[in-house]
Amino acid sequence: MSTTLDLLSRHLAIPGAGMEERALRLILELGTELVGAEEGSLFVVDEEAQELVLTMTVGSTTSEEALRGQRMPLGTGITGLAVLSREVQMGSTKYSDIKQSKERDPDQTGLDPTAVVAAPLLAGEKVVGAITGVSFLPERRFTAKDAERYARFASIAGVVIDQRRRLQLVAGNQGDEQELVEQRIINRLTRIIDRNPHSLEAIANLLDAVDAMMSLESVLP
Amino acid sequence: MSPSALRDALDLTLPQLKDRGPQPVEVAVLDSGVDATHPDLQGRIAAAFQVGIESGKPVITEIANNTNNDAFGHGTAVASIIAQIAPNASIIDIRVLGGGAVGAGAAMVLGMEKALERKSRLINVSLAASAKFSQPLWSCCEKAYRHNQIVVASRRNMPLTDDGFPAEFSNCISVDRDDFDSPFKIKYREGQVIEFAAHGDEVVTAAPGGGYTTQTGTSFATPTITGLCALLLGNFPQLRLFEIKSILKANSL
Repeated sequence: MSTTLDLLSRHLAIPGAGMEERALRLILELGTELVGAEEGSLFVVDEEAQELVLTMTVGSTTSEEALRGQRMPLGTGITGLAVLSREVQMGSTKYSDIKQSKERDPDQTGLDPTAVVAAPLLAGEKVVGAITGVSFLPERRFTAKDAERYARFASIAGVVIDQRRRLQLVAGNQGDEQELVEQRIINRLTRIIDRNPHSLEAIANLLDAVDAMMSLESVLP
Repeated sequence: MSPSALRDALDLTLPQLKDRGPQPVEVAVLDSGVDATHPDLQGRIAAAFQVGIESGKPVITEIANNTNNDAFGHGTAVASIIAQIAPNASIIDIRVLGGGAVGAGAAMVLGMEKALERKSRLINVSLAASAKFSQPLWSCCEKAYRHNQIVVASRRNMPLTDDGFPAEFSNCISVDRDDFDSPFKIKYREGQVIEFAAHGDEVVTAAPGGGYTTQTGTSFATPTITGLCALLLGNFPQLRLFEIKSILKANSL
């Protein structure tokens, strides 16, 4: 069975025990917590095999041990749709019918999630993977706000991965100013979240404010 | 030009359009495919196509229009919203997602070309391609505009530096979601790249296999506008893109 670090190294070019791996796990944990999911997973795209590989799971050590390294065809499920469409997606794998409930579905095993939210990890033009939050609570649905926030966290994770790739590209050459600034931002963000996981709400609000400011700038003459 | 059609359309409310016996309008749905066996969609899919790979190249082929062609449920949900709002919509299922190793952007361009070739009056794109595909998609949208075909496209949900393509183009109708409680409530957003917002939260849609589900996002607000456009064109076939936009603006909250 591959370890998380093996999988990150092989598919995302993230070396073992690096800050990026810790940052990704932290982002996954906070994203999972923010949308009230019970478990969260990081999938990476194996381009050659056209498959998604489950690399990291938070919320359940049993799940991580059992599922890590599991592969699925790229065009599968809500996570597959998020990767193919490059969009955050929500849905339910268990209930295709909203009229269904646990009472009306006595076969429910508790193993299938009742609600799923999945967002792609975009590294520039490439989709390198996806993060997925799941809930097992009866009749649980993620909201539009959940999806928006989850997408923001996926964007941060995408920057972490993209940054690593860019740094590798410029390695050996003189440091590119933009990359260095991006690295500083990521390092700072990682330290803040590391020290205080409760800063999550504040960071989400900050991202909202930056987004609003940029929207305003785009309409001003 | 159709000044009287525009005036007549402006005299009606959007719900009234449904009761006037609108003529059939062909609507291409570029998406993950459609479950044509769903009770809400039986007999509504006039033709179906899918993008795949042949000899290493992306190609588009016609497939049966009476089967479940949707692995994800996204396209079925989108098509069912259009079918529900516009009983006159004749849907063309063009599956551009899930065709093996074909990227979504390249598949979307092929799908658009098929819809243009068929002269589908409306083209629903509840997808957002990256900037890499903006040029070929712009060419498709420009061709659609010149041939009086109307592209209705979703704003991207992911927070990136652009709102997604083709939604950013002014030669199509761009749509964001809002928490309105009715498909007949729409909003015009003056000065915004994405001009319109429609019912896109907890929308009850068909699900593959015969059931129903709820969906949230710009993907599901877009077919609401497409459905309204199908009603408008079914009543006033002469309307052009800019006239449709004027009518939608006039009906904005």
